[in-house]
Amino acid sequence: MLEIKNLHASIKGKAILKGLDLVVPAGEVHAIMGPNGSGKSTLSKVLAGDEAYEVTEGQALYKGKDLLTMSPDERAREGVFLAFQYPVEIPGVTNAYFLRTALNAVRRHRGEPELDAFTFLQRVKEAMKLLEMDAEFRNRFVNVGFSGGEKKRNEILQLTLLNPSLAILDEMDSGLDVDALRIASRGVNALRDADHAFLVITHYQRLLDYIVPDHVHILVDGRIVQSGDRSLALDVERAGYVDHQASA
Amino acid sequence: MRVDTWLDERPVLLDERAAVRAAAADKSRARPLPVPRSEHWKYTSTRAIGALGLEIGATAATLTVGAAPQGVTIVRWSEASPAQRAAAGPWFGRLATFDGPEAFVALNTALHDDVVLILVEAGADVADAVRIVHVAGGEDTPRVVFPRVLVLAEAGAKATVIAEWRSARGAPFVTAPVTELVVGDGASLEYVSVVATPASDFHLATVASTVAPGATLQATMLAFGEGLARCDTIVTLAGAGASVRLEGVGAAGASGHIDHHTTIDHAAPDCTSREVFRNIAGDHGTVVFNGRVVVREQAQRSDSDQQNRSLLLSDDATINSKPELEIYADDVKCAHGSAIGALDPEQVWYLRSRGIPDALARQMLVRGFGADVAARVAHPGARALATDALEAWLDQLIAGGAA
Repeated sequence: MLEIKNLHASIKGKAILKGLDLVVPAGEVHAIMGPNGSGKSTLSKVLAGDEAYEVTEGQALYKGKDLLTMSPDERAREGVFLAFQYPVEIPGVTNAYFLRTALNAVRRHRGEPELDAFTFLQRVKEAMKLLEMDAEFRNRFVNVGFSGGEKKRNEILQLTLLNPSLAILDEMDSGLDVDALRIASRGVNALRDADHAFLVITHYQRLLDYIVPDHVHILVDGRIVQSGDRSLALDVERAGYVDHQASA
Repeated sequence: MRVDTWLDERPVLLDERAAVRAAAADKSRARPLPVPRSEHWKYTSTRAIGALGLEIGATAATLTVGAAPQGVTIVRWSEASPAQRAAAGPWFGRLATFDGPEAFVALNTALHDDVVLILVEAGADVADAVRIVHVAGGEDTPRVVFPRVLVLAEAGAKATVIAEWRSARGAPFVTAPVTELVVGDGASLEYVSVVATPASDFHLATVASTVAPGATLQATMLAFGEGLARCDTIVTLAGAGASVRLEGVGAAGASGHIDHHTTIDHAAPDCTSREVFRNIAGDHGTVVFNGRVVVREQAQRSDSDQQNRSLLLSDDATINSKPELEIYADDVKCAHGSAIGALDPEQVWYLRSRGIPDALARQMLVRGFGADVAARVAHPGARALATDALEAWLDQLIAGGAA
């Protein structure tokens, strides 16, 4: 699904990713853990196409295609989704209009017919029910006046509706209480199957109790320094990132 | 403009309007157009109007008023009963004053041919909106018209008035309307104005209102186009506990010039004002917002908030935004904010990260920039009209290559 080779990226001339290698096959959930400033969020934004970052070396293949030459909206239509750590507020644009425009852009690209208003509404209602979101969030402006938890749930709502092949979750757990974390994770777990892959970026192992990863990677100073199974996350929680930082 | 000739030829009125009209005529003879570059007209020049070779037109040909819902009487002054004239007479020319730089108010007061009176009975709760539609232009002769409207919402009444100012294009057309709104004790009036001005046209409007004790005015002023529109909105919070929500959008494309000048006058204690204006300028367009808030010495415990945000869609577009706060009372809460910027790249990126193409993302954001103003219109029919008008115009602005 995703194959990253020797990826280097910088922002405003400052190198953040310094030769990152990673392979995420279809059907798997990979967690990326690392201390602050290690490049976790940079990785997620570079993969999604944030133009503030510059890729200076290396490549990223998504389903065998060169991901890095695609525009951000092309990547999304091809099935890459980034759940933002800090979702953006958009006054004046209702959530329903936003969701429908995005969904139809993706569907057109897949050669599927656009959803009529009724079918769309049914889908949104189902997804919102799963995420225990109040129906009134449909008619509110995108993320405006949402609490931290509501914003994160709104990200998972988009994930559920757009049904991407590769979902990147950037610190989904930050700002979420346990209940909200459980509900949001339920939305993610509902999509897990042989055709979907997930890249779960987190600072804390707590999230991984809810979204259980197949593999865990430790990112330090722009490189993956260690990979392992779930137990690696538990080790990190006990001992911290100190040893890894020393070895980097 | 042949103002002297028009004044000489106009019919003599021997009714409640006579004295005000005479004063306005004197003023118009002395100085028919605004003083160029005066403070009040600093950003907007009306000099081009003088050279148009205008004929004066009759509002009977341009102004139509929809049916009166239950609780509302709509009547032209020329056909009003003595009782109706007696009710409206004391207000005529009292709100839209012309002792300062308001040249077009003076012209209108001196030269208007009739007045549409909209009288809302005390206590009436009117669900259907009263709709005024003015269609300028569509002629070979350059023309000026002076529509005049007076809305009188009696104590405890609740009503909505929609005024649409459209254009049929054609030869240059100047529309200089004056609207006076009287919101009686505890009454609640919603007023929605939609002005669309094509490149050949000029729209010079004044809406002046007074809000009595415990009464509420909600006014939404939308103005867009490629011509020149200057909209002066004046609200006097005249009675204790009165409140106003004044919102608007100014949007200019091509070489359009849209100017909103507002005054909210806190003249009584315990009044509240909320003001939100959005400016959007594309191409070579200019948008002006001048928001004056006055808090008089007696207006203790005033609570006022003014917010103005502006969106520049091209390097050649201009925005002038000027808050003016004059506070003479000491126990008040007055906030204001003003920001000018281009589309937020974070917002564009967020929409694109969901598969929405760049051009569509920008269109959504431009539409969204004014949408919350239209969304806050309370009357459902007026809200739909405001939303559709705004979307259609902003789409046109974007299609013009502005975004």
